[in-house]
Amino acid sequence: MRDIIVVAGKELREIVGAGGGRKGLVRELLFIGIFGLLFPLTQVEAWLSGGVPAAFALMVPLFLVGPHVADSFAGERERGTLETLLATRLPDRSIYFGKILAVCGYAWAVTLLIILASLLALNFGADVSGRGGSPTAGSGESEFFVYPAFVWVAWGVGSIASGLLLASIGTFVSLRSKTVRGAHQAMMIPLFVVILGGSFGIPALFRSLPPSTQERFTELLESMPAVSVVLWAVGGLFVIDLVLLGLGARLFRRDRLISD
Amino acid sequence: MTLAVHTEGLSRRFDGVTALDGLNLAVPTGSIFGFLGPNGAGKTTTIRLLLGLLEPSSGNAVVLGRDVRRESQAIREQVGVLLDSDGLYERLTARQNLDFFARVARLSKGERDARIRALLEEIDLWDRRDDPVADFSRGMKQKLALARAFLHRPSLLFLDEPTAGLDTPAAVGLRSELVSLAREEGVTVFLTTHNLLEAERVCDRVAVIRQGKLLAEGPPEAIRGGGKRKLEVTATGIRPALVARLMNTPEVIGADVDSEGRLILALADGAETAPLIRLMVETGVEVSEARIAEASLEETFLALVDEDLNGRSRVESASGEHPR
Repeated sequence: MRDIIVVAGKELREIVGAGGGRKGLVRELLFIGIFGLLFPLTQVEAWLSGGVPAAFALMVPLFLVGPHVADSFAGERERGTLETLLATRLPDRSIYFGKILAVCGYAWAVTLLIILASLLALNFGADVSGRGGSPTAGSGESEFFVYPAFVWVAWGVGSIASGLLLASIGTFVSLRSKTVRGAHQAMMIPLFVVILGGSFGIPALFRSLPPSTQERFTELLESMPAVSVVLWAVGGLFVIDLVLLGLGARLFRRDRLISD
Repeated sequence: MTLAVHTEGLSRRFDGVTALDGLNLAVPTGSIFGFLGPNGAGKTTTIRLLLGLLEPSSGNAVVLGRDVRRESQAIREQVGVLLDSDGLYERLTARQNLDFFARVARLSKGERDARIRALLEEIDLWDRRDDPVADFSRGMKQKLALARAFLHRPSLLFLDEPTAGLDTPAAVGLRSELVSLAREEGVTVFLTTHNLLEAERVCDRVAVIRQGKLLAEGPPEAIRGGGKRKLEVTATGIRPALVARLMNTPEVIGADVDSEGRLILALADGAETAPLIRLMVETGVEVSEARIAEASLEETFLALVDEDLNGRSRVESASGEHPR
């Protein structure tokens, strides 16, 4: 575990400083500004209901993980650092999981900042008193709006699950790409498959079911608390993640990387 | 004599192409070993095999007493490397680069800080410790990469062209550092270089490979001894007929005129030069200078490669022992 954290620490330094020291933070601030401030202030009702922030908690990590995971191995290969890294005592799995931990941890943290920024925007930039029926903290006129529990579940574990999904797919792409540009181009395919699959594929699949099944499924979902629905969805994602990560860890071997 | 690196019939093939063909090497502990060969000779493949980054197709290799197939991680713990690329993270600072590799080597916090400071001061980069490596010159990067290789005090160093990109004082300093590491601390240095003068100056033993095959191996002076002596004559009045007469003597096995007009006579083993000078003087040649020159390592290297190109492989150990 210690080796994984060492690799992840180095990766995080590279990710955050990717634009060159403080300039690297501009990209993160821009992301937080658009998703955490602009969107909530322009779509107050949608954000108060919790549906949009929950969906963002699952989607934003995909956009954050994609470019960095593409760079993870292809970038090291292109910049001539991969072989030196492989020539250290680090076990194969520490390198593999260290890189995944870094990109997922980064996406998770930025997503949290977006959720927190959106809360600040809603509470201080919009009139939220008595709206949304959401749980509140405090009392009287100084009530502070906070999201319902399922949003926090979506962020807390959902963002990790979706980040892991793209990271595990992305490492396959990055391991096989000779250049960063090639990896970025190739990453567009899984990114679109995951996003379009989630947005249109699942609803389409649902509509293809017999009406009676659709009805029973809808009743089941409506009878469950929103938190449970999110937990079931995230649990399913984690199962897929585990399969992909296991496969990736088996395929990640020094001699294969060098001889390729 | 203990061996830091020992290979027997080490081979590696890639999709039907043989990159390394039955390599036999014996590198004594605490020595500086020069691994020479033209581009594509198999030097990098050899280093990758010795580091356990590639699996041998056949043969065996033992590094620091450990088998490369079964104990490659333990080998990598004890070696320092500088490969053909400096391997530095350009987005990180000099200190962050060394700190990462020190953590990988599991140095304690105190040890890390002290070692990083000492090394950065030694290579005159302490004042620039917090600058991104991307801002460094090639020479500065090379020095930093060398510091990274020495960071955890390895007992074996694999250095691929370590003086490439260094200015003359830095290259001289590094060569002296390598010699002192080997002599005083018993560190074994396995270096590849195209700078044959460098190999001649610092290496205890050298090996020459081409197309994955070992052509010669031994101390540089013994390898050079495999090349022929020559007589360089600066004179006036040399006629083709005289050259033909000289060629007919048992002492001379070849003759040529170099770009400066000097007559170069390749001498047979143990040949005396006095009869040749006498012959020239007797035929009216005015000799102003005559000197016996030994083939340099570079000339020997070129001769070995040339012999191999012409299908006359001369795999031999210049120390008198044939590699097993």
